[in-house]
Amino acid sequence: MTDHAMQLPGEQEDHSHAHPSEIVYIKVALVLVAITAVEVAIWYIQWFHDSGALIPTLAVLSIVKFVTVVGYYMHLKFDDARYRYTFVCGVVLAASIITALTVLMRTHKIEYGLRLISGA
Amino acid sequence: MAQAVATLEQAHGAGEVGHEAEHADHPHSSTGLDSRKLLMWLFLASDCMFFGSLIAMYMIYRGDAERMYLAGQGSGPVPHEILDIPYTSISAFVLLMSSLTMVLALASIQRGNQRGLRVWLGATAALGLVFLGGQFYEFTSFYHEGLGLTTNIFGNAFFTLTGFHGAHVTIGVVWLISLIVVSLRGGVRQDQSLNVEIAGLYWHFVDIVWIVIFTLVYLIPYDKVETVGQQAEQGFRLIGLG
Repeated sequence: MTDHAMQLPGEQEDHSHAHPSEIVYIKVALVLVAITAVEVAIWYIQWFHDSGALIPTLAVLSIVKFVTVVGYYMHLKFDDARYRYTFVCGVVLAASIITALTVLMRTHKIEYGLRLISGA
Repeated sequence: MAQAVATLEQAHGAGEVGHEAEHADHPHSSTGLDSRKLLMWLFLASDCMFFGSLIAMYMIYRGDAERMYLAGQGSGPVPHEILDIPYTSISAFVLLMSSLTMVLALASIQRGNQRGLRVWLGATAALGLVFLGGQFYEFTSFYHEGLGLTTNIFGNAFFTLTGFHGAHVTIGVVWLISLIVVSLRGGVRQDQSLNVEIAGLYWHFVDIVWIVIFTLVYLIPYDKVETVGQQAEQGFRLIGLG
């Protein structure tokens, strides 16, 4: 716990002063649009499909967009850290659900495939 | 209830109503955090898990649909035949722009600019409606091309995931329009900007979910993902388990 623990009950933090200006919001929007344009552009470049670089590149760009919106537009970069921890817990749990379900289903498929191969 | 209100007014005096309203908008809490904002973050965290489950199901079922189709089983159409990347890119652009107009609405009310608030909230709601119209057109065209909710497991997973996202957008648009109406009645003051901020959190969440859906549902080709499973299968064979 940091200085928040020192805050007396009833004392309210002032969020508004910490929020970025409109110019920052517009710059962030331009960055987000540029990243989206790059995502779509690389989808049309065959080299990314052939080399296997497409999925990692799209994943990185998507994560950058996600973090940018959450950080700047949802103000998690500027707000109290406890809001950040709350949301990050949800995101980590969601990522765990996606990973667990995908791995579970794939493992089952591999076992099924192996049974087919061995004739069992 | 009426007696309680009368007692409250007597205790604080009629002249302090504005001050009272201000405190009602920023209730005290032992954490120093605003309870409503914390509640919204908790809701968004739980909604992440909800969408996480739907996305996982989509990823699994879409791969199955593609594989069954290639094996001559199951019915089409399948994702690579039907998904329209340029069209969906425009939808993604529209939703990104709506996030910008939403933060501009918040910045306006924080400066006490009521007109700016209504203009930017109206723009956000309008962009949300454009997105919903685009989704309706996409769903309709998919249906005419033979993909319904029960056509195959891809259709089932796709319509469930994007449909729930569309439902979230619809709720967001209704919320924004309600805020505009309340603002027109003078119900959103500068010291009540948290009401707009909380609506904004919900709206931006809808946007970040679409960022994930756009990548996982539309852009990532699942034949590439399937090769990971195939490589694992080959690995089993190599070590003598196959």
